[in-house]
Amino acid sequence: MSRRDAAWLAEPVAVKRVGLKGPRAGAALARLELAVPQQPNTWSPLTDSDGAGSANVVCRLGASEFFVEERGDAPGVVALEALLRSRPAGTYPVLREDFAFVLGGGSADEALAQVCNVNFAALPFEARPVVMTLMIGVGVLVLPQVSDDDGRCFRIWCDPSYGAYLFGELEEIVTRISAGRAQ
Amino acid sequence: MMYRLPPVEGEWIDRTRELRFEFERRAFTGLAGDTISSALAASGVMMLARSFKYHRPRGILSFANHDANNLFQVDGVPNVRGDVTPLADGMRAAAVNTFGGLARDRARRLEWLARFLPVGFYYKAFHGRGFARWERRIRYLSGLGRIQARADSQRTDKQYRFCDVLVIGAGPSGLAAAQSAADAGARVLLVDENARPGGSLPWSGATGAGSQLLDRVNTHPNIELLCATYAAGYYADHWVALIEPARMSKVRAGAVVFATGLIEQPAVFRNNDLPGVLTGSAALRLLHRYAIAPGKRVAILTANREGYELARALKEKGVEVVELLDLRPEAAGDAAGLGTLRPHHGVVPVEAVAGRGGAVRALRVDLTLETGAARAVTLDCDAVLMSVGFAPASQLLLQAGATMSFHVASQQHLPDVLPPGVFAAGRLNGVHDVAARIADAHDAGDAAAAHALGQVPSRSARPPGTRSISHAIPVFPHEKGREFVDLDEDIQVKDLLASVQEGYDSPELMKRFSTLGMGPSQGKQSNLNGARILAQARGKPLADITLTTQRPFYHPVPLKHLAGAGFHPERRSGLHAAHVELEAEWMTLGGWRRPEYYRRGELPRAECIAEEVRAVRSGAGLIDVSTLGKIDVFGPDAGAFLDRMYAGSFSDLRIGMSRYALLLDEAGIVRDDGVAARLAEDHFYVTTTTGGAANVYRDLLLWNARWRMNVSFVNATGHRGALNLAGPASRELLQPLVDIDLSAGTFPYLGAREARLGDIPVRILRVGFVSSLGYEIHARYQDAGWLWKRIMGSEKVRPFGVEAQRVLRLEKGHAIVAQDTDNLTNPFEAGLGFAVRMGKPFFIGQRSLRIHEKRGSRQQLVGFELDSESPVRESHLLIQDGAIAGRVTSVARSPTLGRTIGLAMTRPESAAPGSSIAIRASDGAMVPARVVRTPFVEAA
Repeated sequence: MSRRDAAWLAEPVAVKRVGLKGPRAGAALARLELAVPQQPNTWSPLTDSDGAGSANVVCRLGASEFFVEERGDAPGVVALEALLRSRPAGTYPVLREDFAFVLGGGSADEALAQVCNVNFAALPFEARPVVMTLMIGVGVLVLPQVSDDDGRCFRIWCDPSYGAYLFGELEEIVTRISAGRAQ
Repeated sequence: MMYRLPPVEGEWIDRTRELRFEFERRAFTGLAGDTISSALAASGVMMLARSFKYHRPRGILSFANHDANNLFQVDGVPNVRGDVTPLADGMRAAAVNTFGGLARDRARRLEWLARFLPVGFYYKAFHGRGFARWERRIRYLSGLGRIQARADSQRTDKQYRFCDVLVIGAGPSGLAAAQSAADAGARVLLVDENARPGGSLPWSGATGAGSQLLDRVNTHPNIELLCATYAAGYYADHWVALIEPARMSKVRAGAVVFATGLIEQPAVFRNNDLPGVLTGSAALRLLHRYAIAPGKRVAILTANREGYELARALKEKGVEVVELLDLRPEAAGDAAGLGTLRPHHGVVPVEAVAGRGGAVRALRVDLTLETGAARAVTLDCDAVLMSVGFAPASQLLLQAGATMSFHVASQQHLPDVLPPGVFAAGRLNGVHDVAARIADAHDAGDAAAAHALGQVPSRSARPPGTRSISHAIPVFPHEKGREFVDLDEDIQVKDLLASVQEGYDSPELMKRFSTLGMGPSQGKQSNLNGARILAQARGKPLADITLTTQRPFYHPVPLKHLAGAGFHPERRSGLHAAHVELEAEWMTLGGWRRPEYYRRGELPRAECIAEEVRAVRSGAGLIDVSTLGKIDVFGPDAGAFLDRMYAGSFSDLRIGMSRYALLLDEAGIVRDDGVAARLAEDHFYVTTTTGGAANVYRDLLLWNARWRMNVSFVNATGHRGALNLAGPASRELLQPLVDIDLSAGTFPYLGAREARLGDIPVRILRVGFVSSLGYEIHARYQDAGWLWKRIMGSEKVRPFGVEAQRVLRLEKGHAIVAQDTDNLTNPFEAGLGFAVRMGKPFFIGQRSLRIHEKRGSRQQLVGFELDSESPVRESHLLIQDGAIAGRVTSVARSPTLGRTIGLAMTRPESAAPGSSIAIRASDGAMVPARVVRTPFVEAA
């Protein structure tokens, strides 16, 4: 059974995150030549060199809050953290210690249907939406993305204090779905 | 007696696979594809159950998943629906509601007492001391099935589904609606409660067109078909609960087509409940799906065309129909194709006659002769099929907000006004002839798809139809009674007439007094006849009687489907692993897993907690307080905003200091508390109670949506961990680890600093909740674990848990919001007046507090102590002059003081230190206590 048929979970490694909000938060991103998603509740690749499937992303949460995740040395995040330490006017740091993971595979929609009432299958991925919703009682941020091998995946972030619960429940669901597909 | 016929085209059974099962400890065989009831019917078992009240023998009535008398206990599972549950090899089934088995049920003797058990008898009898005993007895006799605690548990997930058009019912109308909607480009979900789609197609006369419909639906890429699935309830915005065999699906549809059809209604005459008396459509289902004949000598009672079609269908399959008894006075049915069978007209059913074993063996009727005179005859038969009328299966449609009205010509309630996105099709819509039904359903499907896809739907008007499908009132009372209107609840005609006589003469009142329609079928086969009887008794037309609306669920839903997988959100701090290592005993508080205390060898719980308290008092203890709410408030207006939100003053707070923060509601009631620390001119760091963070954060956002001040909020509760190092040795232990001066002069009580502990950036607040000297250390979630280990590296530090913390703060006389306060407590009553700055221009609750100040307190929170050990607990009442004078809010044995101390709300006149109060313990004993000043422990 391929990853295309099953559902799978993975935890990202070696990522740095930072959040910022305030009336001048978008300007702070622009000053560092980082992308600024134009529409609320959408995401962009962090820089021009990052592609649509990149792990380096900036999400616009509502009108004036942003969340950035970057892999490796994360120069964008490092620069943003330094800028935030200088306390620019109208820009405030948002501590992001999220528990993060990725749900993918052909049966990912089936797993999501058991924990969340958002119709992810109907979302236009090309519009790069980010969804703030509840999953089995936990507030989550979900970023649907086109992945290289499996077509689609969902990057999910939540409050770290809920991480063990949310991941554990999803792991059980994914295991049952995969077992069902294998029969 | 029922029996199996030779193969019938389209039958649902597999004659090559025989299944063995037991019913009432007798062995039987059935076929794969049978349901429990059909297998029993094919085996000639007529009696399947005992009725609810009188324990009369009962059999199949509708075979449409409505019958309360087709519920079985199967392999430990109660109330299994025999009509639709597939037979399984090795199944062991038994009737419910019997004592000593179905055949010899001891409770059948209750029928002899029927005259003493009229409807509502329990409202009038057994008053006084005997009531409780009689109530238990009645409940025992009235049970349905038995729960077995050791039965295997079954996991039932829930899931969400989405579609453009949901079609409920996969008979001819449902299939047509689904096809049209799908052809129009909608994603369609089609559901039917039966094991296969098709509904009445086999006997509708549209087999050719019907087969094409089925094929098209089965292969259409836009249609998903769910069988053995029923819609249990309709909720707002086209949200429908579907009950599948192993899960509940919650469907959000763009539009819904109700193609739920009609429910055939029984005629009401004496002994109409005998096994072998069933509806015509039950016979058709048995015949076409399971190749079962309803009997060897069948009599049909009818008042519509359907009865004649039924007779033809039976004769075609070789079943002998001995009598066709039309209730209508004149020839109105189509007698073609009936051979030698001549229908009688103007028939009045008198009573069904039981044979040995309790099943019907004859039917007594009054025939109308050509002279117009009536002649009583007894007709030998072993099955009586009733085809006298229908009621619409409109329960879900009504839940969706449709209105219905009664049409005299067709004798049917029909939909009048439907909300947007809701469509009715086929027989439910009053269209009966099959070709017209299908056309009507195609139109409904088109309209539903248009609505769901954002176009303007166009729904044709209902085609005119004046054929009456129902007898106006198929109710024939008998002087000896036993004419059952509601077979679930054993309600007879006289019971309803008695209800009216007692003054319960509206459908709602009659229902509640008589329990009509309150059984498992929820009135599907009784409400209409009940309304007819009520209308007749009141001298009104049926159109003037509003039928009761059935609420969800359409069928009873197993509790396991409602429970689902059982998700229980739980939060863990970043120190969870550390606590496990230290052998924490866990508790759940405010949704968080927290250490209640830490186990120490074989020491009992109380001693472990006492040791932890002593460790803090004598040296230093460390507790994980990551659960506290933590909110950053940024912006030029941050101080001014907090001045408005909280009862105290914060705009004048110096940078590097903190202040107790008391949050009130507009009634001046204490809602939450914490500490607000000023870290910069435009940055405050505010803590809340465990479990209060989400509400406080929400309130900050809501109030600022009104005030529009220049301020931003960040709820960092889960993203930061926090520890509290407390005790006289805490400074000396912490100083070497941090890069700031902790001396009293430099870092006074209520100071707040940003610092580094090792390489970790931390926020340190000097607090005094549990001891005079203590430091709350806040860090990022990922760093908290390292901090804990670093501080615990000293042997002088002892971890302590929630229970020790409760005792420690009690010794300091500190109140806990929502434990020592309630929904009526203002700050003056709780001793928190020090945190209120009434002189501010405005704060939430200020106006109410002025009123509270003028009125004076009704209660006062005081400290008390007991002279001796006692069983005083929280919430025990204070009694004074024979009346309640207050309650204990907190109580504990203080290891530091060696006696029991507590906090209590009491009358102001008893609040002075030295006052005596009396506490009533659980056993009623009065325990004397003494009011004392707090804190109980001063410098510690």
